[in-house]
This record gives sequence, C-alpha cells and structure tokens, in this order.
Amino acid sequence: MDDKDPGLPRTIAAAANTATKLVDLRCKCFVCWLRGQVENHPSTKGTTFSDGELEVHLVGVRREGSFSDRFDDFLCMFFRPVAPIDGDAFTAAIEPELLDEWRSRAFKGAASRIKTVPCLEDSCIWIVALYDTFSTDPGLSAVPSLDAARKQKADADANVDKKQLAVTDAEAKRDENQRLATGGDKKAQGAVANREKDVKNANTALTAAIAARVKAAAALAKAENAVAAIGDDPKKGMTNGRAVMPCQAYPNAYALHVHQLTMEAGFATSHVALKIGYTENGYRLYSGAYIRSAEWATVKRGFITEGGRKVVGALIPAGAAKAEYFDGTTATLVEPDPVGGTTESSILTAAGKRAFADGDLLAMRGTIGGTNLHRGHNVKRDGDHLVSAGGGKYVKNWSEGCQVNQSFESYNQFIRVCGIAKRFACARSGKHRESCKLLEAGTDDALSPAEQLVRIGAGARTVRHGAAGKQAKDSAVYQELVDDTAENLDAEHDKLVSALAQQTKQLERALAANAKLKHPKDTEEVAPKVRTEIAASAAKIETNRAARENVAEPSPEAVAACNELVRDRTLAYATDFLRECDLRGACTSRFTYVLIALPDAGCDELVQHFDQERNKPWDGALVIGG
Amino acid sequence: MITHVIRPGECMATVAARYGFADENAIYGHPDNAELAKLRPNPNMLYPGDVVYVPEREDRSESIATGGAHTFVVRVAEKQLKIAVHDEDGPRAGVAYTLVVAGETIRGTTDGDGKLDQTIPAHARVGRLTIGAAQYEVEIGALDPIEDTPDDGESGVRGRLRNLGIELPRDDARSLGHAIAMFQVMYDLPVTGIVDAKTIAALQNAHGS
Repeated sequence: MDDKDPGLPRTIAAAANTATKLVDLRCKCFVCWLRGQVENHPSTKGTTFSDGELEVHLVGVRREGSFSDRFDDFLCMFFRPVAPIDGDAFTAAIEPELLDEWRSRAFKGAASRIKTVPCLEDSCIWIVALYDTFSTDPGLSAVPSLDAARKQKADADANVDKKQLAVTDAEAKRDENQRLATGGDKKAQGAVANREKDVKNANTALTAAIAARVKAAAALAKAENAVAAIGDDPKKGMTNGRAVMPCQAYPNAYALHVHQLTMEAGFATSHVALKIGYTENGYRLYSGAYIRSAEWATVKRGFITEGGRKVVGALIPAGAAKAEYFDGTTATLVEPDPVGGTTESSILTAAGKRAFADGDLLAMRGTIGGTNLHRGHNVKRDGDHLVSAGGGKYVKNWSEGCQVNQSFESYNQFIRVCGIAKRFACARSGKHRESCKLLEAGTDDALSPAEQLVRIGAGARTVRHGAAGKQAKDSAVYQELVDDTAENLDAEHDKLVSALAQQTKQLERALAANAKLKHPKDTEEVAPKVRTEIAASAAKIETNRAARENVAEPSPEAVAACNELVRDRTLAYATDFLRECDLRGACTSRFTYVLIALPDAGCDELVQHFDQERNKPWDGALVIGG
Repeated sequence: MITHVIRPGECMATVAARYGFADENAIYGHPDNAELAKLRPNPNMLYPGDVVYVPEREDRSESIATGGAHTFVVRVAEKQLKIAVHDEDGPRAGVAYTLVVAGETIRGTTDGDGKLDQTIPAHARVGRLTIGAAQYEVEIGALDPIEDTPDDGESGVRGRLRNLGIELPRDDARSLGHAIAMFQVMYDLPVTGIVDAKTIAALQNAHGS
C-alpha cells in the first residue's frame, strides 16, 4: 500500500507480550468509489452524503454522450440499514402491511440487484442497489411499437382473407339463387336483389379491408424505419426542445408523490414516484441544424439567459462518445453578426469561440416543470397489489426530462425503500401528523376522506372526463359527464366568493385605519372604490347562483360513475402505500438526487465494483439482524 | 499487602514495575491473586477496576567485604511489544520501522510475516511507531479483555476493531452495531450487529488476541 499522508497518528491499543494485529486498509468499496466519481464530476464536486440510518442516497449515472430513448443508464441507491438499537423505533414508524409487502414482494422481486457492501471509510455496511434498467434521458421521441405494428399488419392480412372468402361465398349464393330463379323458383326470384346487395356489401367490406392492410403495411414500414434509425443513432429520433436534467446535485429536491393524479385513459397509471416541482436549471436539447436554421428571435425567446446571455450546458458532437460539459464554466450561444462578418451562431467559452455542426446536439439551459423519478411502464391493480401493465424497449414519450426505470421489479424495490425511509425520517423528526396515514377507500356509496382527497387532487373535471371514458359514447351519462356547464358555474362561483372575501377584508382594514384617525371620515365615505367592487361581486354571485339553479344537478348515474373511478384509483394508490400526506403535499421528507455522467469504460467499472466478491447478498433486513 | 486497583492503560507489567518487581509473575502468580488470574488469563490484558494484591517485597541480603568495589546486577523489568502489520495486500514484510518508547529510539525491519517483536521497558505505556510515512500512537496495555467485563466486552471489541482498521466514528451503541455488522459481513458471519460468541471468536482470531 501507499503509506498514508503523515498527519495525526492513528491510535492503536496493544497488550504487552501479546500478539496484536495492526491493519491499514484503504477502502475500495463501491460507495467510496461512487462518491469519488461524484467528487470528480465538475458539476457535482463538493456534494456530501449524510450517514444517517435509512437516509437514501440516489445517484443517477448517465452514459456519457448518449442522450437516447434507451434504458442504457444506471440508478445507484445506497443507504445504511438501521442499527439493532433502533429496531423498535423502526417497527413503530412503519405500517406492518408495508413491511409485509417489502418482505414478500418488493425486496424479493429484485434481490439480485441489491447487495451488502462493507465500507471501512465509514465503518458500516451500506445497502447498495444498482439498477441497470434506467434512463436519465428525456424520451426523445415517440418510437412506434414494432410488435403492435406487426400485429396490426397480420390482423389486416387475415381480415382481407376473411373478406375475400365472404365475397366468394356471397357470389356463390347469388349464382345459386340466379340458377334457381331462372328455373322458376318463385322464392329465389324474390331474393335476386338481396343476393346482389350481399355481394356488393361483401365487396365494399373487402375494399375497406384492403385499404386497412395498405395502411397497416405503411405503419409497419414506418415503425421499422424508426426503430432502425434510432438503433443506428439515437439522436435521429430527437425532437428539438426536449427536456433533460443536467448532471448536478439536486439536494432535498424530490418528494414522494403520485406520479400524476390523472383519471384520463391512455395516460400513465404509474402511481408513486419521486417528484420535483420545477427547476430553472434544466437543459433543453436542440440539434445544431435547428439552432442554425431557427429565427434568432425564436431561439432567443426559448432559452434561459444569465446576464442576457443564453447558457449552453453541454455540447455533444455528432458521433462522439462523450459530451463536453460546460458546467462550472461559462459557455454561451453567440448570435450571428453579419455586420461583423459572422454569419453562423457559435459557442463562446473561456477558450474562445467554437463552431458547431448540424449533427451536434446542444443542451441549452432551460426550465423543466414536474419531472420525476418514475416507472417506465404502466401498472394495474390485481387485488391488494400491483402488477406490471407492460412497458417497452424505449422510454415513453410522456417521460420527457424524467429519470425512468423500465423494470417493474427493481422500481418496486427502489420506491418501497424510499417510502419506508420517508416514514422513518418522519417519525424521527417528530413531524408525524394526523394525515400521515395510508389512503383508505370507502366501503359504501359515500366517498371516504381519502377518496375525497384523490378527487380534489385530480380535479372535478378530470374525474368527470375520466369517468366519461368508461361510458358508451352515445349514452346520456357520457354526454352529461363531458358537459362542463355546471362545473364552470361552480368554479366561477368559487372565484367570485374568494374575490368578495378579499374585498371585504380590504374594506375592514380601511375602516380600522379610519377609526384610528384623529378626524375620521364618515364610515360610508371610506374606500368608495372597494365598496363598488364589493357590490359588483355580490351582484355577480347572485347572477351566477341563478344560472346554476337552472342547471340540473348531476344524475345519480353520473355521480356513481365518478365515484367508482375515484374509488378504483384510491385503491390502486393504496396498493402503492401512498399516504394522505403524500396527496396533500404536506410531507416534508425530501430526497436528494445526484446525476453524473460516465464514459462507457466508467460504466463498466461501475458494474465491476458492484459485482466485487467482497459485496455480499443482502437478506432484505432493513434493521441489522432483524 | 497492597491493594492496587487497575487504571486505564495499566497491565501486570506496569504494576510490577511500579512496585519494584522485576518479574510480574511474582504478583500475578501470588495465591492472593488466584481469582484474578482465573478471571484474566492474560496478565497483560486487565480491565480498569480489576483489583491486584501486591505482596510485600522480600529484602535481599548480601554479605560483602569492605574496602573493595562490588558489582551488583539489577534485573530491569521488561516486556515485549508484538505487532503484526498488514495492509490490503497482506503482511507488510521487510519494511523498516522506528519505535520511540520511554525516550529511546529503536529501529528495525518487520519480518517475513510483517511482524515486529521488540523488548521495551515494563513501565512504558506509550510508543510512537513509524512505518514509512504512517505513524501510530501505540497505547501499550490499553487493550481491554472481552470476556467477563462490566461493559460486556465493548471496549475490548472497539480496541480490536480499531486495530483492524475499523474506526468507530462515535463512542455509542449505534456506531458499534454498524461496525460489528461490517465485521460480520467481511468475515462471512451471520449479520446481527450484535457482539455474539461467534463474532468474538472471529474477532479474536483475526486480531491474534
């Protein structure tokens, strides 16, 4: 070993006349290695990791230079388990059903992806998970499903064959009928027109089936081309302006929350996620060609500026394996200046101006709202637990700017650890409150308090439209649910009442101030403008109320359809162990996420460190020995 | 008979030196200390609070002739410091070291097993060991026993863990639980975070004492 830097001597205890072993080890564990990578990355230098029990550290590792739709990145999660002395506190903080689910499903589902790592530096074991089914990239474009396109084409082929047979059959029946009619069969003579009509209908259906087959063939060709193109170069699938989180530390930024409180069919039903509300320090990706061809005014509007300069976060040269990050330094986009002889925009760095090519990618500093660490697949409820509702090879289009896990099992493991860690932290901080309880669905017609929260969180309109999606399109209930009139009037009423309350307070303040004056005005003369506004608001409320009375109350069927949907969603969220405080946004527990980029060789080293023999399998005990 | 209560850092060799005994066995082997010897099989691994009965010294008489010079040889109490130095690659064999103890500087080289074995004055309680650029403050006699101690062996476990390169950040049960768990993982023991019999045996085996 290299001798340690001389400084404070290490103190050891020895017994006379007795063998004493003195071991000097330098920690080479996964966690120390990973922390070193974070320290070495210019954007994350100085990041610290706390050492409290069940304080979860999340480090995303982006494959450098690969902004793609593929799950080719990593998520590392590490935390200390709870010491035996804190075992009782742990048990008291976590719902038994959550611990049962952890033991029976969540841990076991991805047990091979999580290990026990002894760390000499910290004199503890770290529980470390390495998920290699992760993407830190934006979901660059909607990649068509090749399997779906193939199935559609096969179905269309089969349908053409079926319709062809139907035509042949109709023609045979027509010919037979014609033969009988010619032979004097009265019944057959009466059916000639109908048999001709059958043949015509069968041919019309065949024509439609052939057209569908042509369309399906075109869709299949498009899907094959798209997949082939993205396979060759992920950047070809890029949509300009897509969001991507830059490599940096996001301290205490993420909260455990519902991914989207949506009720609408077709959107992700991926439930619980770690969510960040908004960041101004995001990236928006643009091709060099876009930057060159866009009107400068457009370009200027779209980007975040610092001191009037448009900040370039990174440049990924075409075909390069490595991105060039400008974090920690200043790189800005320079406007073309034809007068000064510059016809092309360029990047200005401390080292001077540099050009970029059409095929390069520029990561421009921009805002990102509502980005998450979430599932890369939908889920559905199967009794008291969730099952995967399928995912794909590529990051979904709705995952723009998010950090996404493709694997149902490893995501469950990760998010359960986060849920348990949050509860333990909450209990320790003494911030536990009444709303820190699991969502509970009602058992009768009325919505339970938790269901009401889900309804409020999603919004009445979303619920109505979601419920409408489950109705027959031509039904009266459907029509009623998509009709927003009553809802609009209710929303307007709420707005007017709120305005009136504000105005009334304003008047009260004015009256109180007047009362303190040496020579107060007559009360009626105080704040005449506010009084006018109050009168106007009151009149509007009355008008609105009258209008609302003429709108029918929702039918019992419409109410039942909405409640049924809300209950279904509440039950689903409950299987993900969400608490009321998660929906209210009242939970103060936060998670830190750190994102770094490594070249392919660094990614290989990451895996090697995880697979070291010194790292042992973990039995899933969150309390040591528990 | 003097009753001596062991203080931190003391062992039988230092007690013997303090009371003028060249041989620690004159105290440790005394019948009045039979209970202590049973409790502490290693006389140089005592626990603070242990009671040692120090027998009266026997005066020695020598008849000598007057008018001449006489040489008396006094046996100075000594003890051995035995340390095996390892790193992640194994024993640090053939490495030069310097040991400063009781005002003397001793130089040497570790043997093929990374060991150094030095005779030092019995009263010495602290030494400064330098191996290459690495320095160690050696508290001689400060290694506590693990068995039959009022602290259930905690201080002895901590001392051994520290020698094995496992530094505890805090002196509390939580830190000890984490460190023990780490030791158990490193030595393929069941991970309990508790100082159980298997862990003690493995720890003593790894440490050599």
